[in-house]
Amino acid sequence: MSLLSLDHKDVARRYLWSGLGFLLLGGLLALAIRWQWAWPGQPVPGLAWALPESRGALTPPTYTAVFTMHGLVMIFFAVTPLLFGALGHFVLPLAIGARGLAFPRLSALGYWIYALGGVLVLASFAVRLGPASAGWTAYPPLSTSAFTPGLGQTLVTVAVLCAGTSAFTYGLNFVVTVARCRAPGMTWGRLPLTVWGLFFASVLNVLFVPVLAAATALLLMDRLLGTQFFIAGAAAVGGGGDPVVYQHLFWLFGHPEVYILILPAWGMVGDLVAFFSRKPAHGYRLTAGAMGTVSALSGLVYAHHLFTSGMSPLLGRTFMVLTLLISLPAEVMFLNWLMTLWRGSVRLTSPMLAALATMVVFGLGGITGLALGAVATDVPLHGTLWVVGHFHLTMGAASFLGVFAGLYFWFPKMFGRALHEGLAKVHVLSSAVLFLGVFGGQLAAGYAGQLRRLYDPYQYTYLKHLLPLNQWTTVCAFLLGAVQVVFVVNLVWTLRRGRAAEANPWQVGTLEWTCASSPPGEGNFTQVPVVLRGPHALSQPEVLERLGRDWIGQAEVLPGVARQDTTEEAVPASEGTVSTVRSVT
Amino acid sequence: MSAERNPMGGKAETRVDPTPHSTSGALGMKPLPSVSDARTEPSSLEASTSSAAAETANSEGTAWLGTVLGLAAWSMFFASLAFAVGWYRMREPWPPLPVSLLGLGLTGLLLFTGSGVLHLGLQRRESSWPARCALALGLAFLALQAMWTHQAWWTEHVRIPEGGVSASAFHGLTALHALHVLGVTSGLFLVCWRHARGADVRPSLRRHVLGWHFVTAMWVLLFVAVYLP
Repeated sequence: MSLLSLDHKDVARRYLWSGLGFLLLGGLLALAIRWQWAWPGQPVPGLAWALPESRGALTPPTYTAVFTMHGLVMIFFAVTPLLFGALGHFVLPLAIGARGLAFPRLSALGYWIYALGGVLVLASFAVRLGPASAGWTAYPPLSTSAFTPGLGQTLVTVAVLCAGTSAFTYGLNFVVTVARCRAPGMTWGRLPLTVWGLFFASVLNVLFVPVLAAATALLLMDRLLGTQFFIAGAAAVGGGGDPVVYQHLFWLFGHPEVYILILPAWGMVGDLVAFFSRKPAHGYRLTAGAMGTVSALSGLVYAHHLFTSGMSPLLGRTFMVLTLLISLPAEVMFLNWLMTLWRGSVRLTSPMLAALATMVVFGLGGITGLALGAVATDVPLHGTLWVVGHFHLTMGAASFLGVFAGLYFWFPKMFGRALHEGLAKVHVLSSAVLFLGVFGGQLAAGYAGQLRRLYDPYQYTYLKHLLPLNQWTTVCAFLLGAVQVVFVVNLVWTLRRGRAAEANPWQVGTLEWTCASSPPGEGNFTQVPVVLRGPHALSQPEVLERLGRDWIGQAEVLPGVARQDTTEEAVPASEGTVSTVRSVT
Repeated sequence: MSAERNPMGGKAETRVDPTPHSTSGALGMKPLPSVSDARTEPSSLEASTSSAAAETANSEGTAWLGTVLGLAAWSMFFASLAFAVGWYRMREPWPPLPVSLLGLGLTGLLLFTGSGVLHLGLQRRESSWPARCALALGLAFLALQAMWTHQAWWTEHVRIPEGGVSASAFHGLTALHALHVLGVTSGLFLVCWRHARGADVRPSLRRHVLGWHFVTAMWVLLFVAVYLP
């Protein structure tokens, strides 16, 4: 794999390795936080080399840096790059029958900007006063130089700007690619739901990442040039600005970011549930429409994050209603998934298990979020671990499992080798159960009133009884970390000695499986396919009758069916499938 | 199909606007024969010439769409900055700038003039003077903006941080906008340089003109949000 290659598949692999690396870093930081909540002030095993003065124990400043960097690394450098950078870059052109992305150089440039951000993040751990420590949201005035003077905060702020720029480039690239580069016959109504999810999330990316860029640019000017946009109170000079402006700008990006992280996973779940129920996706148009509606509403609900920051009661009520409204299209989509499963010939493959687990954790995350969408219940819960449990179920567990659903599904296509299915199932199932243990424990602790950023919660008498609960939650978290070793072993073993993947191991009809080799060569397709049908043509009686199988390729001609204006010339593409090129008579 | 005139003196080309379904538009993608191509059955040379032209036009259309969408989306950056200033303006009276509003307005007029010149330039085929003229206008705009901020800082004492949020907005947002103008001007410089070396820069110029219109529109936002009392 050339580091300078412009091929979308090579760029995807770069994002994959980088994203997995940052996932490991973010996960280790999470374990350090969990250790602190279970055994406050005790040395973290294996951390003495990094924190020699405290012999490996987290001090309060280190603790704030650790939970800040955990959030930033996971959101900007792990999950988003894995969903878009790795899976999106790899799958999207293949799934729409394109030979590449619309702007290959922009795609490669985006990766290197992201990589620069990653380097800055890593460098921030080595500078004096440590990395960023103002929370992943970097709320001013805490994030201004008056309160967080170290270079680390500045480096990480620039790193976030880099990650945002990268997200803007691939968002724009994906939107234009879907609009301009679809194969002949690949109408909007024939796009796989994964593409729909990536498309809508990309639209959100290009619309709202500039808002984050504006907030970050102003914050950087406050830190470096002495401007007063977000500085108020005693630190302000000449009247000062207003930190609440930053909160508005940040969440105008931040809430759509929740959907940016979950929309691709929703799309994958929609496809995988259909593929492995051997049924067409129930309510395909409704599901795509629901994703569009959620995307449209996502920018209109952001201020529910500010219920406790102070706003007009009328605005509060408005945002509450909009927030609760957004759950309706999500429910439509969820019901469509359930209806697809209903009476389907369900095959519990590893991608399907990951998709089902995504549904479960996302469902729980959604339900627990309702309490945060209503003003009356948000006010007491907002500062507690309830919020942490909720958004980790939706943005963390659901996105993580969505990533692995996609990775297990497309891995044979990416590398031409088949992962060990048993190990994959063990990894998915144990991860899902342990996710519920970790974030369920956080929800319970939050409901009991544990505040979410406390260094040592048990300094408060009313929280002392939560210590055993937190210790059990921490055990689940460490087990969750341990089972990731199963994935690593499976990955390394497969890449070195794994068996060659079959041409179409999941027996589905989408273009990447039926018209391209594994892994696809340069240009993706020998011939650009002409698409004849949607992505979920499964268990169709006429296909069963004529082909003797329950699936048919999107570009495969059903024997005995000829179009009036064309004759179809069959071109062997991969085992058991044919693609078509059109020659006009 | 529509004939396009070349504003930069290059050879005029035929522009094709294929639909997304009829071709595969990624750069370097193999174009598919359209229905009309197949029916006329051209010779292989004609067919390859035609498909190469279609591919080029398709790539240009894709790049143009990407530029339009990218710039439209990036306007959210300036909209966010304007939102922030609007917030501060609602909070307390906005002090008038001690710099000539007329002077600031006339400076912005350079961008409008550049927009007009470039727009007209796209209609012409034999000369590169519109791009060079716009380049000069862009540099003049940057110089004048630098002069106004210099005057505000040193003569009128509109300084950071003493001047509070209004001074921060004046200097900070002017600088952010100027960076964008600098980016577009640098792009125009590259277009002129490539044209001087004999390259056909018409599609590239068309996209840079969009960038120029963008910074002009964003200057209006800056003027209304920050400069007006």
